[in-house]
Amino acid sequence: MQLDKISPEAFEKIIEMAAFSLDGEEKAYLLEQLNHQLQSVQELLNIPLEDETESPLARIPRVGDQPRSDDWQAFEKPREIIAMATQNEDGMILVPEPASGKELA
Amino acid sequence: MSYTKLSALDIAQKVQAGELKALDMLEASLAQIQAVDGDFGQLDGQVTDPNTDKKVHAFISLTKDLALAQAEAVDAKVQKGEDAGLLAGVPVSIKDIFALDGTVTTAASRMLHNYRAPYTATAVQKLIDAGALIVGKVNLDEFTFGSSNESSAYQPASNNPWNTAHVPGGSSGGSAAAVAAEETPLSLGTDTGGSIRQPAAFCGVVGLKPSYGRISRYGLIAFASSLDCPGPLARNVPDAALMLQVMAGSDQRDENTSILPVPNYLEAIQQDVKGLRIGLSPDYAGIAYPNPETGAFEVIPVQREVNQAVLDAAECLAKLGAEIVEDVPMPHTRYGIPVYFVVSRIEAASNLNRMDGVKYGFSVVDPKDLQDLYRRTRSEGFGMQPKLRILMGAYLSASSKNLNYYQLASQVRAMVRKDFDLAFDATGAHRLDALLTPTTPTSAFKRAELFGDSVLMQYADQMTVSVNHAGLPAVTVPAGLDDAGLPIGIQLIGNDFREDTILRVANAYEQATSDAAWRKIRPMALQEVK
Repeated sequence: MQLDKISPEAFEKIIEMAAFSLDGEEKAYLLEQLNHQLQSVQELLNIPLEDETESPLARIPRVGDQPRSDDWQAFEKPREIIAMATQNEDGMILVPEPASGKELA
Repeated sequence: MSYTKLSALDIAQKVQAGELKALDMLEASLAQIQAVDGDFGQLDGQVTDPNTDKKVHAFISLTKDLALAQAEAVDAKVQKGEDAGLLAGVPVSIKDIFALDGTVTTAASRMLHNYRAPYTATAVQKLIDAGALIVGKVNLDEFTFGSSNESSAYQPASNNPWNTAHVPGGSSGGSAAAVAAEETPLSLGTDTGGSIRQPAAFCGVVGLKPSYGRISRYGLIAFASSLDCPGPLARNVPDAALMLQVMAGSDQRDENTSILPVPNYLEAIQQDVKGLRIGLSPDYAGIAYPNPETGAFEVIPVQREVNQAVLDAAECLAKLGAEIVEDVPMPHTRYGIPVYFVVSRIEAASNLNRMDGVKYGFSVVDPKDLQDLYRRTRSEGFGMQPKLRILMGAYLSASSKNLNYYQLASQVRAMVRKDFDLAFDATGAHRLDALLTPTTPTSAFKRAELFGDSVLMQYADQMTVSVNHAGLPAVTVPAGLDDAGLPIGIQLIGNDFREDTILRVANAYEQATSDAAWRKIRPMALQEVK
């Protein structure tokens, strides 16, 4: 199987999905680099795969093996977190309205 | 002898014994930073120092007040005859990707230029609890995305102390540069595909990537969550072992931390290497790189001096009683980078979706609507390398009509791991205790030589990245200088949670070569410092 290069049309869709707004110079560089990276990814398609798919990390005896109790723990400094939001009021984060008739990316 | 030349172990012992005050040690560290670092990295950085090209530029910010309070607390404990901790009075720098309560934590990105962390990362807290003095935050590639430090939004980016026209490597380049330039004896870095080991090798210091889960990731701004590992950079192996000792262990705030007990690394490294089986593999002799014009893969051999350093180290270890096992097959090593292009990009894109200009960090002024806020914030806040990684992650996540890239890469990742399983299998053909390889294919490259070529830059990590896929520990130690006078690193890879074994081998090698002529040579950036 041969990977196709990313077309300019497909590239525009990815930009939309990633919520970017790029100029022409940026687009040219990024598209060239993406297609070069895909040449590397192409190698994966030529490997005879084995059945084994166990994550290398699955064998670690870890804290998460025992589900922790579902206890609510209040953060001690919530105001500091809220204060970092660009717009906030009465302990709430404010955001601009979405553009009417458009789905969020 | 200047205090800044002391090892972390010596500093802690002297401070605890009352022979050296933590305050004096802090003063020495800050004076060294003043002497060698030059302008700190800053957004839209303006260079004020006419000798800026000869400076190290490891730091983004200092945390003097914090360090001063910590030093006073350590000295007070010693005065009262109390235990001041394993790192009593030891200056430590922190890669600016770790949260430290009350400090700006930038990830070297405009996106987080104003993000003041409201809590402290577990690894950093453990250092503080052990008596370390946190002197400041050091530079890195933006969001850790790079292998040279050049992608930092905080300029000037770090230089290599051995030759400041060369890069320090990355992404923990500021950490490696700070340790090599004797600004701090220890630095906390992170390693996702080689980001501790590659800069450590380039700067002639020791860098340890622990097993995945050995050190908590809580408070680390995530790049690729299944690969990220915090770890130490130090000037010698015992110091790296000491720092690991302090930071290792389980953490309820990172469910992927291991519950396995933490060995005594400082004791373990005192053992000799008699009878240990050290492997060499032909699959680490070169990198397979896709030609940008044709797409055909070309094998580029490892730099001659680097290859020779590995062979010399094997000979040295053999003389110490280790058994060298040649021709260990690691056939899936060459797929490490292609797998990384998929796994790391998809995870990075997912992790960076949270940077939207709403909750914290950079945000544009007067957005028309929510979509405009997202797009303009992300476009102006991220540099080119994060954009490239996000776009690649978005493409690979989305184009799954006939192909699930992440699943495919995960299958190959398991095959990469299987190579190691076979090599370390105690009943197998090779029965290795450690695999000895180059850390990097070349010594440090010049600034601007590779920057912009995201593929060739990534392939510089081919010797290190398989270890991240497999979740294994690996350490790089200095092993000489090349013909240009730049450091060479050799890598020792161990089995799961066998940091004790690879540190033991590394320490034996370090001790055996302690009188080597190249160890007497000092980095260029230090030669003018009295």
